Order: sequence, then C-alpha cells, then structure tokens
Amino acid sequence: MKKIIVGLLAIAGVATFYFGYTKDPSINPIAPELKMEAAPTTQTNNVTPTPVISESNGEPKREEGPKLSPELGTLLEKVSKNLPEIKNLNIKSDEDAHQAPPELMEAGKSLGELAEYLERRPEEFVSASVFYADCASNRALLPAVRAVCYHSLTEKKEAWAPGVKDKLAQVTPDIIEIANDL
Amino acid sequence: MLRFEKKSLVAALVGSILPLSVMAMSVDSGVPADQARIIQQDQEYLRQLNFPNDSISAEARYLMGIQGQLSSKSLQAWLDERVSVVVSEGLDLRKSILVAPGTVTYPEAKIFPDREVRVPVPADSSPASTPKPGNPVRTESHPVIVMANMGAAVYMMGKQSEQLLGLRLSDNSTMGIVSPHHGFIQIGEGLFMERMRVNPESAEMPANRIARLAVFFHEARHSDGHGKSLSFGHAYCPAGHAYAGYPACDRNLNGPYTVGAKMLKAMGHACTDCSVKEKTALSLMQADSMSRILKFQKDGVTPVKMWSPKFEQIISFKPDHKQ
Repeated sequence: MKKIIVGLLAIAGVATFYFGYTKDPSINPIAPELKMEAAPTTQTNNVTPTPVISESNGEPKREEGPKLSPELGTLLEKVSKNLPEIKNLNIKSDEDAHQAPPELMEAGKSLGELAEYLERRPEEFVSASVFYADCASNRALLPAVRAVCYHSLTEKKEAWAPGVKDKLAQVTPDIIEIANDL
Repeated sequence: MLRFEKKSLVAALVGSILPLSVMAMSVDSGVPADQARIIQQDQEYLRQLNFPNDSISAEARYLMGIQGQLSSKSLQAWLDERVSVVVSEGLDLRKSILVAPGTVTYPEAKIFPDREVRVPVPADSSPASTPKPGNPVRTESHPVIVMANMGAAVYMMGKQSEQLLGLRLSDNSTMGIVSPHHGFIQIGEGLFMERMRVNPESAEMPANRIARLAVFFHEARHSDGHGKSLSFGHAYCPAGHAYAGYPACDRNLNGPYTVGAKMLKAMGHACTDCSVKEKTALSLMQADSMSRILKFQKDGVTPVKMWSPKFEQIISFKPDHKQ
C-alpha cells in the first residue's frame, strides 16, 4: 500500500501544476542599450530615428539612435529590468517548472504596460522598436519574452528604426514560429 | 489506503463501468468557499464568452478534437467530459484513496507511457537551479498547489497495481476511478495568488479568469490518452531549453501545453473587456506554453505528431463478495 502511495505521488509530480513560494531577488535582466542620455527633456513625440549601430575596427559602436521621450525612456528602463534571463529563473522543483514562472508573469505586466503606452502614443513606436529588437535577439532571455517582443515588432513594420531589420536577422526560427502564432 | 465499503462500492460503480455519463463538473464541499465561488464564476465567465468563427477558433477546435463550432458550450462540454469533480489541496490523498476489492480488467493492461528519464544538462544551458541527473530536485520551501489532475494519476496507479481505486470525497461519498475521464482535479491556493495573476488588482478580473481557465484546460487534457499516451504525460525538456532537465515540455502537438496555449489565445481574442496590457500578458503566457512543445523526438530528427486523444476506461470489474 505504501508503494502505491509513493508511486502515486511520483506520477502526480508529472501531472501537476505547482510552484514554490520563493523568488530570487537577484534577477539581473538584460537592459537593451537605450540612448537615454540623448533624450530631450520636454519633447515627447518628435523622435528622429537614426542609425543605431555601425561597425568600426570590428567593434560594435553605438551611434545616436532614435531619441526617447523621458517618459518612454523611464518606462523602457523599468521594462528592461523585468525581463527575465533564463539563468536567473528561480526554479527549485519540477513543480516550479511546470507553469509560467513568476518572473514571466512580472515581465508580462511590464511588456503590457509598454504596449499600452505605445497604443496611446503610436508615434513613439519607432523609439521602442530598438528595444523590441534588442529583446527579440537576446538569447539570454526566456524564449517566450523574445517571441512577444518579435511579435510586437512585426505588427508595426512601417515604424522600425534603422538597424532593427539587421538585428532581427539574429532571431532564431523557433522564436519566429512562436511569435507568428501569437 | 482504505477499502470501499460495500454500499459505497456499489454507489461508486453504478453508471461508471457503463458508458461514461457526462455531468457538469462539481466542486467538492471541502474546497474553501472563496475558492469555490471563484471557480464557479470562472465557469460562468466561460459560458458568456463569444468565440468568432475564425482561424483561431478553427485551430483550437482541431487540436482539441471539438466537433462543430468552438463555442462556450462546446468548451464547457469538453471540460465536463474530462473533469468530474474539483477537490481541495486539503484533501489528504493518503486517506482518501480507496481500493475496491475485486478483479479488474484494464484495457492495454501492459502498456504504459514510456518512462521519461531526466536528461543530463550542461551547467550553462539552463536556469541556475537546473537539476543534476540522478539528483532529484526538492523544493526548499513548501510548494503551493496551483492545480493537479489527480484522477489521471490515480487511474494510472490503479492500472499499474491491477486494482480499482477510488476516492472518498469530503461529504463521505465515493467515486470509482474507472477512467481518467472520471477525472478529479485538485486545486490550491496558488491558483488564486496575486503574484500569479495577469492583473494583480483582483482575482475576479476577466484576464485572471482566462488565465485560470487555461490552466483548467491544460489539466483536463491529462484525462486523455491511452496506452503509451495515457494521461498525455509531460517530457523532460532537453539541454538548451529554458526549462532543461525538468518535466515541463510536451512531446506531441496536441498535449496539455498546446491546449493551454490555444485556449489562452482563443479566450484572449474573445475577451472584449481585457485591456491591451492584459492581452499582452496573456500572449506571453501563451508563448511560454508554446515554447514547451518539442518539435522533434529524442533523436532530434523525427518530428513529433499529434497523439490520439482516445481515452481509457476499465473493461470490467468483478467485486470480491468475500470482503
């Protein structure tokens, strides 16, 4: 009888949906490179897209990118901090891994906040497109996050900053497949 | 484990071995009132959703094997076919699982799902806490139950031990687990926790209802399958995967993670009172589920396929009257 109980619990472990209480406070998410220092202090919607990256002596060098409004800059900084890297997921058990981790739920709220902001201010999408491209091409991030970033970009191809297309060439087919199904 | 009393045994099996009767999912009296209320409201919310006849609905219908239109009615029926009762995490299974004395015949009696083996995972290819082979992971803190399809697990245990198992509910009634489709789902506090909500404001926000319902659909899929595919069990995610080394992937195209993802998409699109923010968060959950669907078998070459959702049910049960 004891054997049955032990076996039952083992099987239940496969078919269950649990998660633990703990959460790693030391999440160190990506921070897609943002040109916040160039942002004007008052202007919010007159962004000027410019080339983002150029090569110089083999070293990637960031040139002046789309200017960010202070509000969008602050928001992108906040969102960046909430994008979970795979290595920082705080998974302690099979049960934790079984469903979307809390870090992903937080990222969802942040990306949702950004989407809502950009819906209100579509003219700023060009600035955010650099962030989305960095996010989609960053292999350290959870694939689900990258897919949502990629999906956000493909919905507004007409508003990409220069350089975004090149960045997206690094996005792997598995991410694109998920993004296309969202 | 307890044995059925004669009266409850009869009660448990009447109508069970005969073709399964589909009844509306019920909530056990042991489920805390606030949780029961939300679960019932979630079901009511599902009944109010209008699904357009579009490609999103068509895909969900195809992958879930739903005949006709995708509608709140067909989805409710899909759930009801797979889940009989919702019980609380407080139900002590060590005391509530019963054994019916007698001889039981299971279909495909010697055929079980392949045992998944935890794969070795390089240290740098997955979460910091990726388990090491042969070193089962144990949570340091007390895990909080979100949801578990225990009906499928108990059925499989009965099949393995060649016994008919049952469950004593909080009101002392019993049910025989003659099929995974007589599923009972265990829910816990985790299903309602604020940090797992799409919208932290209230558990009753529509987007939170959709997220919980998607978990229900995921778990209900575990009531399907037969023989090798019994319970649509999960596979260990391979090296290089975000959840490498954990049984958090599917090796089929229509398993629990697919069902959960497609329902998140369909319900998200049908939600007229979800904000852009909430819909983005639901999309992220959908993407997470989809990222767990492995496209190739363990050989890395053979594409995975859809599994037959045909479900198992015991062939016969002959009570032992000497008991």
